[in-house]
Amino acid sequence: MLEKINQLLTKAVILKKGGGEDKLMKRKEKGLMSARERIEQLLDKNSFNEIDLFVEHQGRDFGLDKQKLAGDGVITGFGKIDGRPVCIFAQDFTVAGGSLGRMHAAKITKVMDIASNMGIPVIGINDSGGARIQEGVDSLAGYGEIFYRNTINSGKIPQISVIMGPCAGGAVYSPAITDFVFMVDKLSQMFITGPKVIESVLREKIDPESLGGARVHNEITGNAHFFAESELEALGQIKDLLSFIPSSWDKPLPEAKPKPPKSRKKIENIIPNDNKMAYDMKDLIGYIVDDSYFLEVQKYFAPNITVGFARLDGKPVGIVANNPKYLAGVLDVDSSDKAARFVRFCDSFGIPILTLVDLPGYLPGIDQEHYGVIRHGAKLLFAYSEATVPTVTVIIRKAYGGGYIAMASKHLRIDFVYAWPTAEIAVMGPEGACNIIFAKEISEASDPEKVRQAKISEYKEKYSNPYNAASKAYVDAVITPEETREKIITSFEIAKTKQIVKKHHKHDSIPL
Amino acid sequence: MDELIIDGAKYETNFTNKYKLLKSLKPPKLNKSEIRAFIPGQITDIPAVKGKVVSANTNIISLEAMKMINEIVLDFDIQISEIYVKIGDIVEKNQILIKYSIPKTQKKKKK
Repeated sequence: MLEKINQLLTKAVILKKGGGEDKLMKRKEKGLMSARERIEQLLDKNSFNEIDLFVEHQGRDFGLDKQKLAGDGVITGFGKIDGRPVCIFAQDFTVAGGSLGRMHAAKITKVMDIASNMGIPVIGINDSGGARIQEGVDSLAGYGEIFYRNTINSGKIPQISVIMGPCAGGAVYSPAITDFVFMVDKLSQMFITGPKVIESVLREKIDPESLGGARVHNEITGNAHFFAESELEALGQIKDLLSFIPSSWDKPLPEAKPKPPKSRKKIENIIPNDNKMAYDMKDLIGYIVDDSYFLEVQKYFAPNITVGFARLDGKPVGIVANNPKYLAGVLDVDSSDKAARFVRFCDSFGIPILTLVDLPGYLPGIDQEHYGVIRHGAKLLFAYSEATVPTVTVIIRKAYGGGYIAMASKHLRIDFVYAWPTAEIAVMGPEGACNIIFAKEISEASDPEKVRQAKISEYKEKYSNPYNAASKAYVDAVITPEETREKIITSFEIAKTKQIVKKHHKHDSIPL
Repeated sequence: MDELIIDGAKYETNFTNKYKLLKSLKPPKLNKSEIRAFIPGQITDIPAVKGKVVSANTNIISLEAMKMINEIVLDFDIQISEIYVKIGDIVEKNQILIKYSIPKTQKKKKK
């Protein structure tokens, strides 16, 4: 008996060393964590339960049959984060470069199925050279099995991808389907065709970091949601994110002790009087939410719209807000995509949505029109219209034209729409409107500029306010900045019992 | 601070890096007297002969790129004025391959 137990322990010790002590040492020298260390660092102490440690590959070609690959290059199992159960897998680059073969994929899909059945999040730490070429089409089948599960689990359980090394070729599509992608500066890389292929085909030289590093995907492509300077920082960000989201779509939201906002900056010091002057919307968010704490998602991508999580009276909310600090807070191709995706995530998981509005409209430009701002802008309208979670909108300053409609207006079945006295709800800004309505009067005047200015003032007086919209019941109440937090909290409390029964059909056909 | 003009109003704000990088998608100008490589690759076949007419929808030159052999055809007849490459040449994107003119017979047909 004892001998057999010892045999098990010895075997496990060897397998847990992955690609061997030499390779692990080399990683350590480079300052990199091993796959196992990453899991242990992320999970609560001693909470990791490994499964499938003894799995072996079944490759028979190209000499693979003579090779032993510990755990087939991936560590899988379940554990806890802040006491809440999660499933996890981490690819081990020290074992055949973390390459994905059939059994490697089968280990991953097994933990994905456990997560799906139990209704708990699944976290995948990607660090792999790609498909295991020796296993041929079996490795492609493996990817397909993962992508399929990512898709059917979407909106059911939170799926989190962490890129801590290369993730190239078809492999990128698992993270792409998941809800949140975390990347580490100068460590993570994602691309469909790498620098070598690009150079051989197109003769264009580019280094991996500039092609698909953490900065590129966080700022330019929008494929990533979180940027970290180090592995440790990324793992901390994951814990932070999980503290705001439920374990699955039908589970309660994780509540915390209610806290008042930390910094009670004077509102006059946040919002400039001149509506053409910029301010940072995040200061206003800090003015409203618990402890002034806001976990921003996609901080660097399309910063003209700000999205992320915060708490109100201890309960998590998703916030979508135009940010005048960048591009005057306009809607454009990227900001529409970003906000629409976030709204849909919140709606899937029952997280109430607070929208703060201050935008002059859509970004003008040939590039915007030709990149399809119509198609992309449609997604945001669609996402808000189909949302059935509690929703509250506060119009801070400008809400013009199509942008007003798209930014969670009353017309899209938003539960409560409030406006500040500084709000301007109109079909367009005063300048543009007067140039059209009074074109003749202005051009025929002896002093056109004087008449234009007079008309603009007149228009501002009459229409650049919240009262016109309030008189038509498009705004539920005009409220002061001071009472805003309480109003939002009370509104969400009332909306807690909201029930919208959707007509049964297969699914909608969102303009992707 | 940057300035963004929307509906005649100037907004003081900051441009993002991506906004500064964006370029409009203008279609390249077509020069109706030459054929250029639309992608880098290797010339694998040149059925066209200098001075001879190549009729519409017939392969003029083959360019292999991305594991595909692309036969380059035009939907009108042309007369080859000059061939700048030979079989086996590796060409860059936009490199000139062939110069041509419209044969007189074709012009008559058009009438």
